[in-house]
Amino acid sequence: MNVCRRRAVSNTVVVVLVVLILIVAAVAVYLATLPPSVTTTTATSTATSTATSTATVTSTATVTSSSATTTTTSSTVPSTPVYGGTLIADEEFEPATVDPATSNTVAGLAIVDNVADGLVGYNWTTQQIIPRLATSWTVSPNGLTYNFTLRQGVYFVNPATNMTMDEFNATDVQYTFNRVLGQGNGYVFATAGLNMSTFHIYDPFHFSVSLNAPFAAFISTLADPYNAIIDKSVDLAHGGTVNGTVNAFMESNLIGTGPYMMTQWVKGDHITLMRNPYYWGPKPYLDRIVIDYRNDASTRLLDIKGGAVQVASIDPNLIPSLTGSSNIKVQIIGLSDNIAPIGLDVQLFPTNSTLVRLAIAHAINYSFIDSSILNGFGISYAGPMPKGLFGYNDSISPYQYNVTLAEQELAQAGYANGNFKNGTALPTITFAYPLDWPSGALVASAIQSDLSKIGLQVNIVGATDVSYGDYVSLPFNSPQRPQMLAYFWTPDFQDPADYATPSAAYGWNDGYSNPQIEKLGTEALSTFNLTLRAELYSEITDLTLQNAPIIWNYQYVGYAVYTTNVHGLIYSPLLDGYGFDWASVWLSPS
Amino acid sequence: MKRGTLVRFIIKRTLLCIPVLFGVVLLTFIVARVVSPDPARAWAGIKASQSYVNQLAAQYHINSPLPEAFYYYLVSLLSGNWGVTPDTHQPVLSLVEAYLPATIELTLVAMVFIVVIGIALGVIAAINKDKWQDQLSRVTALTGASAPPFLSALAVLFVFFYLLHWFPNGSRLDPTLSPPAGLNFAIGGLQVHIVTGLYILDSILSGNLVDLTSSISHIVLPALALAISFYGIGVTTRLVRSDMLRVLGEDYVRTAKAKGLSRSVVIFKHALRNALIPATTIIALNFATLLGGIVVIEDIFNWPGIGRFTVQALENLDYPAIIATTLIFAIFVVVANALADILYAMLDPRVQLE
Repeated sequence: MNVCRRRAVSNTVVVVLVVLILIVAAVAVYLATLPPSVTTTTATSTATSTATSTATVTSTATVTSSSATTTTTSSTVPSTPVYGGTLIADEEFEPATVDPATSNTVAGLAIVDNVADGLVGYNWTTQQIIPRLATSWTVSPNGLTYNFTLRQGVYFVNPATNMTMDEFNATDVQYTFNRVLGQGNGYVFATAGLNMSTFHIYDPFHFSVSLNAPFAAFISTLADPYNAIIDKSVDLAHGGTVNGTVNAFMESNLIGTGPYMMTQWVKGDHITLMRNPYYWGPKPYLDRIVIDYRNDASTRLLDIKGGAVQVASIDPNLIPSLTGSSNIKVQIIGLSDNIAPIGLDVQLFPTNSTLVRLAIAHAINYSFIDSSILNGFGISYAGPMPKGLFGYNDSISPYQYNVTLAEQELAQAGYANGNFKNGTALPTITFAYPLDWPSGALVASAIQSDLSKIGLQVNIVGATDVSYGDYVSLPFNSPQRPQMLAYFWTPDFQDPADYATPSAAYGWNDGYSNPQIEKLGTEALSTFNLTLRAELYSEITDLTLQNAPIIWNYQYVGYAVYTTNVHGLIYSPLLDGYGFDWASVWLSPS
Repeated sequence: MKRGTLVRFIIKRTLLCIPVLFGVVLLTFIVARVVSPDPARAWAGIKASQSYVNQLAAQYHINSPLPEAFYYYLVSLLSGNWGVTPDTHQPVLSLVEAYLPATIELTLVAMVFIVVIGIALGVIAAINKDKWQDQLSRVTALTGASAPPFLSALAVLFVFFYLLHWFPNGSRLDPTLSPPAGLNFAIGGLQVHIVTGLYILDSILSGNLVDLTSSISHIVLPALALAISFYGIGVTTRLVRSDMLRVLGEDYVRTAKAKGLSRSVVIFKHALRNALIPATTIIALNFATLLGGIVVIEDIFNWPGIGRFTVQALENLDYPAIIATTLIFAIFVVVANALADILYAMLDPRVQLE
């Protein structure tokens, strides 16, 4: 009897094992049939923004692939937003801190933007500045002094107790401004020339402050999450913040006045946001948002396909894997403010020649990079400003791929076919790119191949953070510096001022200096007439295109991957990939 | 074996760990100081100001001669000052304390899977030698042992989460729940609060059934993935099988059969107990080996443990954290090795302890 029973049990276990093996085999087959990491995919898109509560989704995105086709078309959604529900979103990178004054990652700032209010903010649909904690403001005729009226009846909310704390007032603004100036993120206010000695509080809801020089982008800097207003007494109750040091409590806890409260942060796992019941603005739809930080791209893909999350950060090269998932939308929802240019060192041979730089600019096949490597999630633009930002002039054409022109320019420079006049080849150009540049190796290889067609030999070097930092810190004439250096530029605030001034922007770290551009940039900063200001930036665009200190390469296209029961996702170009205005998002009953 | 002999062996084996740990500390110190051309800059992070870099250099005696710097490094380690991460500005040791329980819990549950499934498969294979059950167990074991951890993890996730919806997709707890509170009680007016950081244990201590159910369902997939990776279930199966086959041929087993004992008594009481001796030491060693795979498993399953912390540290080039986790992993290996030796000595009386 014993033997029989034992055998019966053993057989059951074995049958289970057989099933397991079959399942594993099925998985292996599935994985083997997944599309390759990069497919030859083209995309056409209409970059408009989503409506928050209208009856149809206004954006359409079509992604076609040689191996797969994912099409998202207009669909009817309930016309009335629904309150309630929990939304779970998978994102790749976890913030290091949520202190507005020290947070320097998009992931952290995206949390800040939903939990704490700045004096102003953005309507990301129209890209217009809108009031948040300041209801109105005026600028003195000389552009130096700003007078603000603050919103009354706004309270900071303690997420632990779900109770209101202090009422927001001008002393919180003064404290926040002083605090941020003493911290890592104070450079934005420092650039704007904020002079705190002029900060004057008239009453709890009125104050004025002056700048050292006119800075037309000052209001834009106030919309930056760096400058979100914190509760003075909370910081002081936890030891306050000494300039240059961090407050451990503030690094991990964020108490604000925004639409959501940050109620939980399980490090290495997730952050939970709960609706702020005392929010001064329209009541947010969702009860709870859980931002899951998942490093692994395949896991994020499985999560959204398996229905565990409603929004997921999916790498462009995995988009074709969503084919057949009728409940998932891939939607291009805007143009990112993030750009991926390549600086050409204007002090090193041979990129010190304008004609060589122009030859490089015209030798690159931009459309191949945009469509075949980036799967349509990148577009060419005529920098320094990205498309969609105020100051961008659509009538100016970006660099065009023209091998003949590139060869002519190289010949005019005296290096026909990449050779000196005596027939010896030009030295190899070094092209360094950061290793964490998505698809960077492929883009760099494509450019290497393009340049070889006009006779320029390029050595591409993937750089770690440290070696990349070393490159950047080397003097411009150092032979160790690469002639070509790829970088990302994510703006601190939504204004051309953060792109268009060579001496002000890290991104122009290529030794380029042009007094004319500096003059135009400075003039633009003191020009409050938007039309005139835009003209000045157009001139800057023309000049940079003529001199080619930077190959503008491409600008990212903002897209979102989410399940069809998610509505009202509004994309923030400033906080690319993470910056959703969660207050406008709602879930339809599934 | 005399009890005194065993105690002496344990003390001796424990003392032997000290020079090994010293060597580990020395190695991590060399990695931290010598490999990097500018240790202060590496520790501070590339975005740090020069004044902060200088401050760190002075604080950690980076510009001192190596022996002097090593002395201060040792003193700092022993006094609990493992540095501050440049990204989060938090003391590394407090982060290690926050992340370590998750890893320990995951490893322990994976060990349970390895022991239960590995031994079961090994026994089934041995008593059905050369039959299809044997072949199947061996193929299964070999497949598991050969599969890289990321593949095992994705396969487990794909099958049990995506296809079957049996288990959640990672994380330690349902995001709508709060971590279990642990045990709270008062002794003579003194409030005692015990939180181990092991969610299953804390849920039991606090009597929180919802958290208990959730934490168990969340740990199953990562623990299973960990257990089938590397030398987990596969190696245990093969070892138990071969030892069982060896023991089943021994005279004392034949004697037991001849005495008319039931087959289950012969197998489980006489054969398995003896066959498990070598397997036990391997299983103990596995505890350390599992940590090699835990980096990948935790990353894929979003498990907030020391492995995920290591990945983040590597991605951010967070030097203090990298050194700390290297040290932690090394300590695990040293301790697991010592435990394996001690277990072996306790289980097998033939082992010469002197």
